Amino acid sequence: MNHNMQKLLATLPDPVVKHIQHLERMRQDFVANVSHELRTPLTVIHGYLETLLDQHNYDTTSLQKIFLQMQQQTLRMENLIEDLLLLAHLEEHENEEIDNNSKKIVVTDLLKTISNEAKELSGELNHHIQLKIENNLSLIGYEDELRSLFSNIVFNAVKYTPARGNITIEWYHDEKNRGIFKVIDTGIGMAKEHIPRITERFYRVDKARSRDSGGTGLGLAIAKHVLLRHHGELTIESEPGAGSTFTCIFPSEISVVIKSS
Amino acid sequence: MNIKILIIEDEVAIRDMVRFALESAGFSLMEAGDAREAEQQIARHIPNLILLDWMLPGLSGVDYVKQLKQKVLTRDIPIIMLTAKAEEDNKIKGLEVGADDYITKPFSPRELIARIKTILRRSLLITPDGIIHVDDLHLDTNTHQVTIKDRSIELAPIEYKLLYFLMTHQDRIYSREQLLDHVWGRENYIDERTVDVQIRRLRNQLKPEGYDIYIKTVHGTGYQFIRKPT
Repeated sequence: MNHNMQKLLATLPDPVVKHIQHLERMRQDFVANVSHELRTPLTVIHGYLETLLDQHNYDTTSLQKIFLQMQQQTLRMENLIEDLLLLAHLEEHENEEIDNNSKKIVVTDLLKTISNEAKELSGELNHHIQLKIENNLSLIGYEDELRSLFSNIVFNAVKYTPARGNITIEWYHDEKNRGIFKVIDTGIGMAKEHIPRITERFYRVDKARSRDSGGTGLGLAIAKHVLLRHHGELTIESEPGAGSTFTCIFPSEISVVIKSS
Repeated sequence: MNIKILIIEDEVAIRDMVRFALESAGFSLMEAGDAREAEQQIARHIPNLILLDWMLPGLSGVDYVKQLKQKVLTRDIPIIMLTAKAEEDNKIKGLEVGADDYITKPFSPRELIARIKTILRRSLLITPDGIIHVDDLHLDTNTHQVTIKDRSIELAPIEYKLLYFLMTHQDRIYSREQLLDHVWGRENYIDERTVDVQIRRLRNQLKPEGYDIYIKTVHGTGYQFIRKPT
């Protein structure tokens, strides 16, 4: 932090100074984390290209696998950039009222699609994925953002639940007419101290469990911000070894029961 | 050449890329995703050199280096750390606990191979009695005595460390910054010009028999110890 900034801070009340320092630290961590996430894909691609350029006789069978890996790494970088841009967009528009770009979203259809994608992701792990949804309940909001929110939470359940575990996706309205989206898994869960931090950008419970999970590290940060945009809230319950429950509560104003005609 | 290199790195794609590059250069690769798998690999074959990622799941890179250095079977295996630029402090710590060199991601495989060859050459350089010979210049790693022909040379501790580093990393150019990291280590609030001063002093000590020319200045880059100066 430069000299002028220091002088300015000296004139401000202590809580404000603390907040600014916190923001500075977060910004620095963020830059370091993004660089770190880009570093691995670049190491792979740079390495292969340099070695291939030095060689003059290519073994065509190895080439196929190499190109595939380079492509996967490129995809990884693209996903990271997509998520970063989405997050920036969400944060920019965080405190606004839901505007005319919103629509009535048929949540049932969205969740059915996501559930199928989850089964594909699960693959040979054969998770038991169950949908318990209220068909007439829809949301007024932004479809792409809600899709990100729901899929991030569902795919996390798949990633962090061992083979043949149970994943239940629920969608219903409560006694206050609020829309409730809940994902319950019998996965590895997490210790209490991680719960408040799990929606931080790039936060990992530990490196071993996130290895090769294919995520960008921004999924839950995005989920949190999408919920904020819809004036909702997120609660998380979890127990190591027993599983986790992620609950999204949407305000009654945007949770609409469609009258069947 | 059947040199076995063990890479300990949790990202599969990086291991595959390094395998591709090193096998093309004639090395034989062993792979592990963490310290536990590394131990299993080492139980089967002792590698000639280890490439160790700094950020590993489970036991960290630093701690694993310490473990390797404590066992008779593995303490002489040279180690190159694979680090990320953000981990500046860690790379010095790594050198302190016994790693031989480091390379930052994303790295050039060509550069990695060059460092591997240098280090392997060094482990072949030191004779069983612990003395490094370059023509008539002899450095005794046990007594820290340096002699040229029969003349014993008085070196200050930092001059000895500098000469030892250069003689065990021959024919490669090192920048002042790299020399500060390797030779001065953590006490690194030191100006790069200190390196120039120590190089000059060292050369003066080697001058009587003409061995000052083995330390070459590479303008714009750094210094190099050359085995066959012209």
